Amino acid sequence: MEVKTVCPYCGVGCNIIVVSDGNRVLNIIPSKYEAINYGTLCIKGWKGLNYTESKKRLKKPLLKKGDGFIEISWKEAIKIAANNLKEIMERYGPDALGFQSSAKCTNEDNYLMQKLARQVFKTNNIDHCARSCHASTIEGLISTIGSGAMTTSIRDIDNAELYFVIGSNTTEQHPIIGARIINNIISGKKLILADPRKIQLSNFSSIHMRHYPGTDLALLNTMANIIVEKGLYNKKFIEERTENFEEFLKVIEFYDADRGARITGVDPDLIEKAAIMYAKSRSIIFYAMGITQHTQGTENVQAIANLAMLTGNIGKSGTGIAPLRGHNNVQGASDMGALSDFLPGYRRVYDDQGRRIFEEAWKTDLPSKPGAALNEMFHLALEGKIKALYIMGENPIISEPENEKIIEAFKRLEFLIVQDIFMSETAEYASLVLPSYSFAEKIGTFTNTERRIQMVRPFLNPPGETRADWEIITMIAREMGYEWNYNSPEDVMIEISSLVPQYKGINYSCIENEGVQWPVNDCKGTEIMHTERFTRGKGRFMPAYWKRPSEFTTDEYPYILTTGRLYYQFHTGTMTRKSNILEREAPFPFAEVNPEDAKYLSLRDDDCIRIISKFGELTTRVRITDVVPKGIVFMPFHYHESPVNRITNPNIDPVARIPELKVTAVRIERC
Amino acid sequence: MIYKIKKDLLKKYIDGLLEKYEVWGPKKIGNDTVFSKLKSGEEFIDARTLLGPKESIYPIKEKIGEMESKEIIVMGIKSCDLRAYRMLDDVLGIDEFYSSRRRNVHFLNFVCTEPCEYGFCSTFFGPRLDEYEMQFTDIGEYYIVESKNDKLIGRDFENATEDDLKILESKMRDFYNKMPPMNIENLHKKISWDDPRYREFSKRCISCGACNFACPTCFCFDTYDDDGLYREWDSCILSGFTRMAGNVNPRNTLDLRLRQRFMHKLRYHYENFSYYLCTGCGRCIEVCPVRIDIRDFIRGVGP
Repeated sequence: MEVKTVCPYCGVGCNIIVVSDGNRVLNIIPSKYEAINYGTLCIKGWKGLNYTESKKRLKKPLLKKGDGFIEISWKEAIKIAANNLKEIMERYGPDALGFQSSAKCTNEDNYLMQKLARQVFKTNNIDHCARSCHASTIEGLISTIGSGAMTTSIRDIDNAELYFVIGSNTTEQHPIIGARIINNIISGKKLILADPRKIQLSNFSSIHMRHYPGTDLALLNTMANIIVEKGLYNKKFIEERTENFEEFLKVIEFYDADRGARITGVDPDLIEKAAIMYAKSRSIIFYAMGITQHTQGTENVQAIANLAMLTGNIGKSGTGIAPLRGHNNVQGASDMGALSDFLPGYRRVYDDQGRRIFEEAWKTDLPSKPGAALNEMFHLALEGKIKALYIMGENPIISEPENEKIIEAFKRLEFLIVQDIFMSETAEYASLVLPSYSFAEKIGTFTNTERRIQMVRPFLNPPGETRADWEIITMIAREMGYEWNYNSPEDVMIEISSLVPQYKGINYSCIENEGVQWPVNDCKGTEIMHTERFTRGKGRFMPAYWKRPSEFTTDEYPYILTTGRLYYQFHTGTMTRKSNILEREAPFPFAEVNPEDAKYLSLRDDDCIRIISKFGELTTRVRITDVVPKGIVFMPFHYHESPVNRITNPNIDPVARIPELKVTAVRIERC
Repeated sequence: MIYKIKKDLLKKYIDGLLEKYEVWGPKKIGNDTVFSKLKSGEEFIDARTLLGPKESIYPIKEKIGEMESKEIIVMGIKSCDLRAYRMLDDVLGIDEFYSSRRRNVHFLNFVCTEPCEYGFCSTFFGPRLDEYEMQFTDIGEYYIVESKNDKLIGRDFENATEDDLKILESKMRDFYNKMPPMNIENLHKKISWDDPRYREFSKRCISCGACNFACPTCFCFDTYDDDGLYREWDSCILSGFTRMAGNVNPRNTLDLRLRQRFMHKLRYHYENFSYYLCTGCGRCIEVCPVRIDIRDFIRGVGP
């Protein structure tokens, strides 16, 4: 059979056609879909689907018995799940429960997961990994322009004159968007890059600003100040479409080029040149975790919106802000309200009017206090306040900071449900393991980084007794006595389309052949947002002063550790590490160290080192390279062998509650 | 023999084949055209697909030791692909798992009468082959069918006339006029180890391996143990392709790997077999995210 579906890796959402015999993938063909991947794929698309047919897939529900697990029936599993959650809710109150949803799952799965938490268990303790990646984007963009998503489309990249990429290694993490940028540069467009590391896009940048990690806000403010000083700002746009400009001026005037240069370590002339180029061109800003994973993540994102509004580079073709989403459906999971402070469609849980819509639809009172964020759930579990967690399709032991504390937290829980396709590091600690479908067996929708809602279709027979995530959640809700009458994911989408304004009127037939970009009205999508007015009405300048990151170098910890992903691996490796070719390309963890630092530390390539932060220590191998500047160490976070999140900085942005994973002070010792 | 068949009878012919054989062909999935198993003649369309049907004789991933010998018919393959499989035979022919499958596949190639966007087959063998089993050419109302194996000739085939053959010849002249061959005289001597363009390409190449996966002539595979011994298509663009024990890699940078690809296709293989390992299908250009263009490379123009 041949099935058109969407690649399960990053947020680009490449369309693929999979040929299978029901049990094995026989061929993967990139779709020639011009709007996204024009007949191309990255290596993960070509070689990364092996995991779906892995023999290690979970096949039956498992219950912890002693140190091991025993197989049980679904009937028992659902009963055990519901009874335990119910008992804990009744004994300790609803907020003793925590739910973690998944950006790997469909919109329908995510919608039901948050509905289970809120309607059935009356708690806002529901969150997912957007917390660790783009929570600051949601807060930062909603407060400035009113909507926390990419303002333009992937296709529209071709219409810009200049790209400003800050904190995104685009060719490795969003390769097909990276390739589109490169193609445009080869045909004469310009690129400004801001990244401490030398990345592939450095080959194409007119300007590469290698600022110190954690100084993005100072850099962006300085650029804004230079644009104002040179009179290159768009007065008409600012007058007609924005507010709070005067306040903004008061803050940014502090950041003259010299001050900016002192803070960021970038040559003041470079900053000036970049600012002028950006202001004078039709420009799109691309950013990712390099902007968001900071204690000032929200302010960083706001500074990006400020810059776009200052120059009128938003709301028309070839301009805009492009937060690049890491997971296939992290956009959709956020849209669906799998967030502790937002109901579906980004209505705040404490907004009475918004909450009432759901209270009426779900015929129940809903909690109005924001729930615990992803990592707060582990802290609360450690404190004994959360007693049970229900984790779907996530592996926090590898992906979240301070993982030893997470393990400790799991041990303190009375009940832990892990719903996954593999026995992940996290699942090992579960009381109950529920085996679910991978994307290869699912019907549903993913929403990609450009807000495009696309159909996901099954091409493999489900292994063993696995069930779809939406179905498992529905069974638990029914066991709890709720009348959830969904017979298919499409039934769920019909409910979504009636409650989530961005998805208004969506059904599967209107996205049969081609996805549409939200906001949707009567199956018609929106390619470019904010064209006439901003989603929040007037765009609001949100200025902020730069603050030193929560971690900085000291005599004891003289290096800054920053983390990221590799092209060949994805997240905690549960998928990519099961592909022979991908695992072969990047089989072991390492730390990139600048040659000068290596010399000082007397290190050679592949030497074993111990990296120590305030939060923990690990061992890994050295890779000596000038990709990283002096004083900076880079590690990928995919590997359980050197789980970098054992030592990363858990301090959070107070608004978005995202940890500052990009800046941790460390010292390096030889093993 | 040279036959012809009315175009609208082709579906019926395929339905007839389907009664006895597994038949593959190009078909529409959404807005894309892909090569896959046909369920009916109705599904078949005569169109070039993004990827050829290489996996019909050489699966992307296979368990070593499992021999398949199902007789299948691959209908609508383009000549660039079919010619490429003759090249695969020269390398993989001694491999029993390959040749047992190869022997049982009948390729019915369809000649292109219009150039495709990225193809340059006129430089090598052109859209019409000398070696084939059954070769179909669209001449309007009919397909001309050149046959070297009458086993698959059906009831609806008629003998082609002189006039039909004239149309075919003029179609081919048109084709060559629209796609003039490039000069490849002594190309293998001009392909240089020190060409600066390898480094230029490496700046933009994103190591997706698509040029290998889409290439009908690429034959390299990797073997590994995954509860049984498997082999899987590999790519010389990837660093693990040549990495050795101790993390030592003779081609440790991307430019060296890109050099290997061009040198192998346009020089080493010629030195061993007296032909270039390329049929001008243009697929590597079309699937390349950053449009590295082997035509430009052959012409000697910079990236």
